[in-house]
Amino acid sequence: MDNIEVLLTSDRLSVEDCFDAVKTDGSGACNLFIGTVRNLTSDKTVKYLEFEAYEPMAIKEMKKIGNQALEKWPLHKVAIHHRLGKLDIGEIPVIIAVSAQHRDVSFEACQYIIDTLKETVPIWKKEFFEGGEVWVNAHP
Amino acid sequence: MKIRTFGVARDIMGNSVVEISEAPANVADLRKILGQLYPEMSNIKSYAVAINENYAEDDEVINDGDTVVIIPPVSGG
Repeated sequence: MDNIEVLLTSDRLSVEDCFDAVKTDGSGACNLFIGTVRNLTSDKTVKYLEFEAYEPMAIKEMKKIGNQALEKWPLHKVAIHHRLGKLDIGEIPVIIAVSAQHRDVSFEACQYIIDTLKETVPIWKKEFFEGGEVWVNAHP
Repeated sequence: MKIRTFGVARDIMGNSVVEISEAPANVADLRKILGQLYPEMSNIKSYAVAINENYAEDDEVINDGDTVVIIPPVSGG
C-alpha cells in the first residue's frame, strides 16, 4: 500500500504535494489530473460548491481504485487527494497523480481513476446559485 | 435501528442519523421500509446502501450492530 497515497481534507490541495508523492527515480512520466470548480452549470452561474463525504468509506474506496489501477497498468505510484467543505470558483476539489516508466499508461490510469472516483466514492457536492442550491447528480 | 445518511437523502429523511423502529432483514427490506417512511426517496435517481463501509446488494442480510448508511448518487471530483 506504500505506493498509494490517499487524502481527504478540508485544507487546500497542493499540486506540488501530489507530484512529490508519486515521482520516483525510475519514472519517465508523471500524469496529474486537476479538477477545478467552474462558474457555470447548464447556463446557471455557480457561486460556490460544498463537498461532504462518508469519510471512512470514501478513503477505503479511493484506496480500492488506486489498487485497481496498480493491478491494471504498470504504474509506479498513485496519489488521490480530495477536498471537502466550501470551495470557491477556481479552487481544486480533486487531484489525481500517477507515475510510470512511460507516458501511455499514465494517461490511461489517470483517466480510469478520476472516472471511477466519480462513480463509486461516497462524496457529494452541492452547487450554490443565485437564489438556489442543488445536490449534483441527485435527481433524474 | 439507526441509519446514517448524506446529501439529498439527509434532506429527505430530515437528519443525518434517523432511527427506524422496524428491523429490516436485508437491504431490499430496508428499501421497502424507507420507501414507506420517506416517499420522496423515489424522487431521487437511485441510492445505494452500505453495510459496514461496503456497498451492499439487495439480498445482503442486515445484522444487529451493523453500520448502515444510505448513499445517494455520488458526485465527487
